[in-house]
Amino acid sequence: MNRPILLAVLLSLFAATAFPPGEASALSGQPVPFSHKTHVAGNGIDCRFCHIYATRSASAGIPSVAKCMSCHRVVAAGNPSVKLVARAADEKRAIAWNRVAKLPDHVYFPHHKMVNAGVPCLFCHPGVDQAVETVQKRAFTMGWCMACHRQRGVSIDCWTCHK
Amino acid sequence: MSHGGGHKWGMAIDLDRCTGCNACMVACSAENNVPITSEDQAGKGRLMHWIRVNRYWQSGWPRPESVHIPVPCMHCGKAPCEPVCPVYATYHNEENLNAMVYNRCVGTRYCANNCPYSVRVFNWFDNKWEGPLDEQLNPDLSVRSRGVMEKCTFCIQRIRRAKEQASTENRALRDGEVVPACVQTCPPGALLFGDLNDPDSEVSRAVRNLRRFRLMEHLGTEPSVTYLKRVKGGGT
Amino acid sequence: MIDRRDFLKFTGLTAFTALFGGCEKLSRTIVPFVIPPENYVLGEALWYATACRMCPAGCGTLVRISEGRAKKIEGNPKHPVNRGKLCARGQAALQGLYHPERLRQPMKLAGARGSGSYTPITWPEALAILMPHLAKIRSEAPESLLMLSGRMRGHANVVADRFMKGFGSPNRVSWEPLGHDAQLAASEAIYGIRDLPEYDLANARYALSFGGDFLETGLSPVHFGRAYGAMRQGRETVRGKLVHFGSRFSMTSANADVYFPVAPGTEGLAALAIAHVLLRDKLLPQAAGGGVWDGGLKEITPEAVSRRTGLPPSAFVETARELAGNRPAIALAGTGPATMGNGTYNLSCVALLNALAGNYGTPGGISFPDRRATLSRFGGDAQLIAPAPESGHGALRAATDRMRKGAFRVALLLEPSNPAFALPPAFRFEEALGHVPFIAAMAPFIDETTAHADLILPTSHFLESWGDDFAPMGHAGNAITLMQPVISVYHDTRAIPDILLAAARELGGPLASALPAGNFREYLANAYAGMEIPFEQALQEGGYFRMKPGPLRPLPKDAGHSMPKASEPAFAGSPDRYPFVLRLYPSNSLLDGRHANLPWLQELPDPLTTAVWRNWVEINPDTALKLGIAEGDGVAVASPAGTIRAHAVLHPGLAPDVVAMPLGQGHGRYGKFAGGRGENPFTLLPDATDAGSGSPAWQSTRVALSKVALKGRLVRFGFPEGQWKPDQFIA
Repeated sequence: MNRPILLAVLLSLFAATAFPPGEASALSGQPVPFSHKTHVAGNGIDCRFCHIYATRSASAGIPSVAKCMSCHRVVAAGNPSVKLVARAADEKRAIAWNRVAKLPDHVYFPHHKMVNAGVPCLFCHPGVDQAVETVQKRAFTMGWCMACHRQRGVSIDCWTCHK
Repeated sequence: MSHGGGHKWGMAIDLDRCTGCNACMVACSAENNVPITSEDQAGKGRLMHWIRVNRYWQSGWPRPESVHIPVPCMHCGKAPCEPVCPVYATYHNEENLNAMVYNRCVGTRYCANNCPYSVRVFNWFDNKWEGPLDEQLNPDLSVRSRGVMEKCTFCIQRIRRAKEQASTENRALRDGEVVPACVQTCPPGALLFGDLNDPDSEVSRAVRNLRRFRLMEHLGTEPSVTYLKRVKGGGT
Repeated sequence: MIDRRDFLKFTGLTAFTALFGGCEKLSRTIVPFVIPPENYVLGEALWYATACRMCPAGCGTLVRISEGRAKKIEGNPKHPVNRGKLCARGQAALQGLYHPERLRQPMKLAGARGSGSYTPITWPEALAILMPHLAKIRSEAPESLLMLSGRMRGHANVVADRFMKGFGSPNRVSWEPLGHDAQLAASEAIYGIRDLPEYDLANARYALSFGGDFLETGLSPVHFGRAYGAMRQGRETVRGKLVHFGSRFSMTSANADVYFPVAPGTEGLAALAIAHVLLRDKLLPQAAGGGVWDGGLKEITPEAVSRRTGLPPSAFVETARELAGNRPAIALAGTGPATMGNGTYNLSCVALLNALAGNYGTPGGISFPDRRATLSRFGGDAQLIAPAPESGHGALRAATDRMRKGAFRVALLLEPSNPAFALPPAFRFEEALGHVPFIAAMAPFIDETTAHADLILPTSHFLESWGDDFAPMGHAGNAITLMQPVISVYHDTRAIPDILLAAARELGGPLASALPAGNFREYLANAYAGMEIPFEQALQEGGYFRMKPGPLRPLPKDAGHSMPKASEPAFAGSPDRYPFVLRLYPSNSLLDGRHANLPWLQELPDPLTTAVWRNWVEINPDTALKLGIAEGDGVAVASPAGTIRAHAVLHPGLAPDVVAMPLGQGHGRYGKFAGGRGENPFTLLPDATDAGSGSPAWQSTRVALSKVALKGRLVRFGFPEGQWKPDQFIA
């Protein structure tokens, strides 16, 4: 094994063991350039219009290609990014988005419980409404979750949020 | 439900109904991502079942008699496993469950040694689910990694799911709504589960049965599992 | 509008989080739908109703589906057979679905037959091999096509039947080693009705089991398990009593209040002795003995039977008195006495006891509902949808003989019940297969039988298939079960009826017009069109359970009963050379061996011996002591037909002159979970049958035991506080 490859392997091992950073800026390069700012701040679209499962399910969900095209058949149809989505829709091909907000597997986070209890989306995902490139600015640390749960008198039993 | 306050989960096991068929064991493994070990590991006493069905011989030929006793975690009120954990990985929650925090567990196995019922099992290895067997894994639960103790949780993920459903529908939990996997599948209906704080629940009625006893009660563990004695011989 | 099938297609595309612990293993991408199905909520589990095919009992199930993957099976609460409950085997069906060794594409033989050496090919390639064979013999000699399957039910069976008729071959054999021929023959002999009775165990006050294994592996274990619980503790003031007469201490006998050990093959005599006392002492004045008493029952005194069974005469007298004093009572028989050389006799005696004790048609007794009445709209097909639960052993024997004579040029093995494993060597089934020039198997796994195929077409799991089912018992006719694919087909597999429909289309002519549907779902929907409940709704519920149950069938009068023709059990080998009668029984987890490749079931302790992962031989502790055999020792079990080795389990429940072994282990070619785990007890058997019904007689040999060195050890589910100590019982 030559030296640069060995170095790369070592670096990647290090990266894999490090806890995911709160400011995940390295996760650019989404398959389709998508600006939350244009949609939320610019056009005033509610989060739940696209993340339709947020009030109903543990996962908020990412909009389907059909959901995007329900507006973009007409709106901004000439935009190069929209054209990428339109092509996916024509080819009936799913888009694999890169994950931005990461929770470890042993955490159970029910979006619907939070949203229905009145926690604003931006409380946990600050600045997303202004983001041209989506990043998760708030680190999901257990202490941060617990502080809020304590303040609101919500259960802090381990199995409320762990699985 | 007439009672106030929270839930106190408990189980009743009617030995007069239990046939020893082991359906509970497979149901549990399927629900809780319990790994398969191997013949070799099983030979070292490392089977991972969260519930087992003990068979006790009471007499032999020519009048053989035996009895089957399913043994899940007793979720003791005064659990011997809890005070010995140096990292507080096993604790008692507000609903009378003896719960495990897998991420805290450092694998001392003190808890298992101190459990009089031998219901705790230890992950000696990172257990693999050879693909595509991993497709069956329950997404409501994590897969425990090497060096971590695990045991019956009374299917806490089902308790959580039922509570969520009830709160979405803006109502209280109904008796019988929370059913652990073993209880749900048990063909003769030997296993019962419910809220001991609700005096009218099926399990509360069962634990008032005169046949009741608890396993190794003299140890003062205050188990949440109540057994109903098998009535042998009589009955007619 | 997205229908359910599109949904299943799309679910393959959804994101689902990697399940293994640790953040670094979290999937890096999220793949939402192109078009989400209607009513779909991300992360919310869906439940689909279908049927269980892990044994022939025919329970209804609900399967939990999360993001397109099957996660858990539960019983269907609406299904009359199992009412929401399920056994260990049913629970383990998911491991068959996601088994690592399932065939993923068609396979072409690459070595010698039986070598298990195969090359993967595509479906078009596979059909290009199969179809010319079929086309050729169809024009030249259609009757040289043999179809060998397990016991098929529902419209899959109709399709298979139409295929063979349309093809022009009468040679269709369905072989199921877990058949109930002896029970059918007994019902016919005593009641004049060739069907399984319905047993109302739940409402009985007194249950007499004659070698019954109804709680673990008998007629319908979940159905009886549920009823057993109700019989014991389901009523406020009555606790039903269970008394067991048997020649092996089984799980069911462990649950009995009283266990009476009898000599193997005398279970029927024990029942007659009780009937004798009932009539002699006029314990049930209303029960008219009629011709039975003079027809021979008079001679079957407790004293006479005592000499045969080894029980004191008082056992029969007391039992008869208890039975008479605790009505309703019920008598059941199980696999043990049914698989003796005198199986039909044993079961007829038990049926006669029921008849004489007046247990027919009463709550807590037995009855014969006309279950097929609900299938009347299918006319003659009703017999195909709900065939009698026979073993088909005689037909298999005839076909095997004809194979040897070169009568068949092509054999189609449709998920056969592994005859190459579950038959005695003297049947010479494998050798006979060698005489068939071309063998095509449709099966999910390579096992001892399918390993003889020149071509294997991989079949879909029942959880991936359309279908319908009709349980042989446990309901009064109100249980037409529907099956639907709960997940999309996981590998490149096809369901058997779909393969047959496509083959029929290609072969054309009358065959194509006999099977006109494009696919099996369409065939099924057409068959069930016009029912009072629409097909789609019935699929949701799991079947047509709200049908009006069939009426009870009237019986001939008591005078019509006649004494069963006396028949003795036959055991190969002389008692001085082979001192022990061998009792073989289907394993609680592996049955006859069909589930030996499922690790959940391999690691499931046996209810009585708590052994896992291999098989053993059960020996009475005193006998073992005399032979110098200790717990876990290697033992050679020798019969006139062969010798196998197994580890000894000192079993306090067994008679000194009987040894017992579970069936199921000893596979040579059934994957890594099944392979190399003990030796196959079927190889000890002579080619014997029950004289009355022709079904396989598993209790047909004597054996000798000797200590041998045996590698490895038998692992038992260790719970030190519960281990049996030999010195407790040896005086």
